[in-house]
Amino acid sequence: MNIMERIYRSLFNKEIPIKVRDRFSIASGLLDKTFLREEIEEARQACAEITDLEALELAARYRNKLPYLVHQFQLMVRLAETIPESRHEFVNSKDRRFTGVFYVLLSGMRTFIKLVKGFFLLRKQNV
Amino acid sequence: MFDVVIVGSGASGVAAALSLSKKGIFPVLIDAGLKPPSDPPIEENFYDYCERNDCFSQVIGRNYEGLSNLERNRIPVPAKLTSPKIRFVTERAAELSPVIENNYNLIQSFARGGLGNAWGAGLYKYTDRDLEDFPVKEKDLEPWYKRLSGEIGISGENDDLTPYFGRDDHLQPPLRLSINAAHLLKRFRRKKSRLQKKGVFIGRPRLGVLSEEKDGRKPCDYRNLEFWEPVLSYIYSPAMTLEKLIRSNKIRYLSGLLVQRWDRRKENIIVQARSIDNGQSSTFSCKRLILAAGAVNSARLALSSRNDYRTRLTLLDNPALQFPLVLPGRIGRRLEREAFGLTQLNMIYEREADKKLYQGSILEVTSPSRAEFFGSFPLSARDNLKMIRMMLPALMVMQMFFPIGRKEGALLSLEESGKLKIQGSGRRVEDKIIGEILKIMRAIGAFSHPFLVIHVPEGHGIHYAGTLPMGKDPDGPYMCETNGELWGEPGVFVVDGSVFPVLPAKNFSFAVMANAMRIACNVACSLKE
Repeated sequence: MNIMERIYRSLFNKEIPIKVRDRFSIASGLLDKTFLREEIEEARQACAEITDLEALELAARYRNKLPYLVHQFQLMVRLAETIPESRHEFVNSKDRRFTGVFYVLLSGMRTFIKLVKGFFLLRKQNV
Repeated sequence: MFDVVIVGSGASGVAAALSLSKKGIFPVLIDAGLKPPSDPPIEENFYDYCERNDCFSQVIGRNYEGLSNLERNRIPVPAKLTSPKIRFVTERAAELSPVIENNYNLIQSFARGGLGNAWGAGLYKYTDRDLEDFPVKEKDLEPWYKRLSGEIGISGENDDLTPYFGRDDHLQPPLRLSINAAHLLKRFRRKKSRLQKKGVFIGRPRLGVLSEEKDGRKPCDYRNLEFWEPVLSYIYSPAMTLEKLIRSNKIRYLSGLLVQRWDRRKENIIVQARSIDNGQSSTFSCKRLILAAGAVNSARLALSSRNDYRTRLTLLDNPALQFPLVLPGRIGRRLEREAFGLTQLNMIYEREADKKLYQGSILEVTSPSRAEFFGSFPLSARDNLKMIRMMLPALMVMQMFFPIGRKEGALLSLEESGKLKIQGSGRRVEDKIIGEILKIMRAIGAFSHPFLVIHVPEGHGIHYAGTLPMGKDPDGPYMCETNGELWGEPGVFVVDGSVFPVLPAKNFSFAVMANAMRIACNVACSLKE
């Protein structure tokens, strides 16, 4: 699985739709020009050695490291939103008061665990 | 030989043209005049459309242009200006008006109608309190406020904010409030007396947005298209008045031209322009020249016409903060799909400590792309997605503007290369004020945290002013008389934000337009004499 597929899976936990994959390749090609080659290489290398990209991206975001990886996540979200199949991931179309509050609390805890893991991974990678 | 040449078709240029045409003078308006793309409009609610269709070309754009904010090291511009159909507003700005920016983030427009194509449509009168440092008073602007109000169609209400916004008996009814905004207003009204003692006033905004039909323009239909469609008949844009003037042959509109400078030949003013497509030069001779190119480009013209590469002019822009506000009771609720996607409420904070007025616009966030908020939450990627779904229905954003005086402005000068140079002032809003505002918002049931408050980059307030200020006794070549005439330049008048000596916290568009009409009326009278 390449980085693009792994980013999509860590965000949505499913296979990347062809449309998103194609668009991501083009967009990435356009925006990569604004990054230094070392930044891209550094992120690719880290991704090749680490399984949990979500934890890595979170820690990188907090530590201002691996800007290319953080950017790739943002790009994927922007592109994924545009296809009708993904709309339910972005728009809450039913009242889910208790689920909502539960998610907020759970997300806080889950993020904390991911952050600790991410810091550990960053250190291991010597980034 | 023309009577009057106007440079620029933004809010001030169009208002000046309107005022002249009412006096029977039909000016020539020279403008770069970039137009929106002619793609077919979305005909239904934005959310319904995106659920049924692939909205890639509407949200990202066929050439991926909507992703420009994701470029490395780029200071993001307001999301609306990256929208594929709306980005024409700032297109080619770097090429047509090159600027060296040091700690400054200028946003310029060369579009037909200027930045008014992408504004929040807030139209607020400057009252005598706001005009303390101006050589004009509210009574001087009042007749023009009235005329503009009739032209534009303003919705709003005479409520707790009337002492700050001025009374207006010709307002259309206010727009329907979103659920979140209605909740905040209800909470404010319940605690009104306590909050008002602390100098806090909340009420309905004055917007150039129709709630009722006017002159064939349909009222707001709450489809959340404010970030996606460049022309919505219910949101006023100066381009609308411009089209009307062109159709009725009240002005001669010359687009595709960029004015470079002016010279003098005997009594006449010679305006030099070049084509933005092939660079071909042309000249226009006129009796009166009206500069309405915006505070930055009017200053550029004044400096380049005098070959002045030394003077540094003050450039003002309101400092601003963005407060994300969460209404806990709305977490996990269904997203409100039928809402007006811009300003819902205004807050005035009359601060006891410094006796200054601060103005906030509380905005609904239903119109921007949901993914736009992905980076705004501090959680892991997948949890941020959950937040977008569960938290955004509970989110509003308050954009708070702060007044600015001449000492706090940035500095603008012209380089010999022809580029402008802007040196930011590096000013920053005090953290203490942030704490006070958060406390006020908590009192009405909206929560945030100083960590989440965004300091809007200097220059992104997009209220540029002060480069050629008017004064009662102007004493320098870059000051204007009260009638807008540039010192030492008979027949050259400035009507845009350049002439404002200071900026109160209010959105200045309405005052700029009223002042432009006032000056243009004087120009018309002087011509007739």
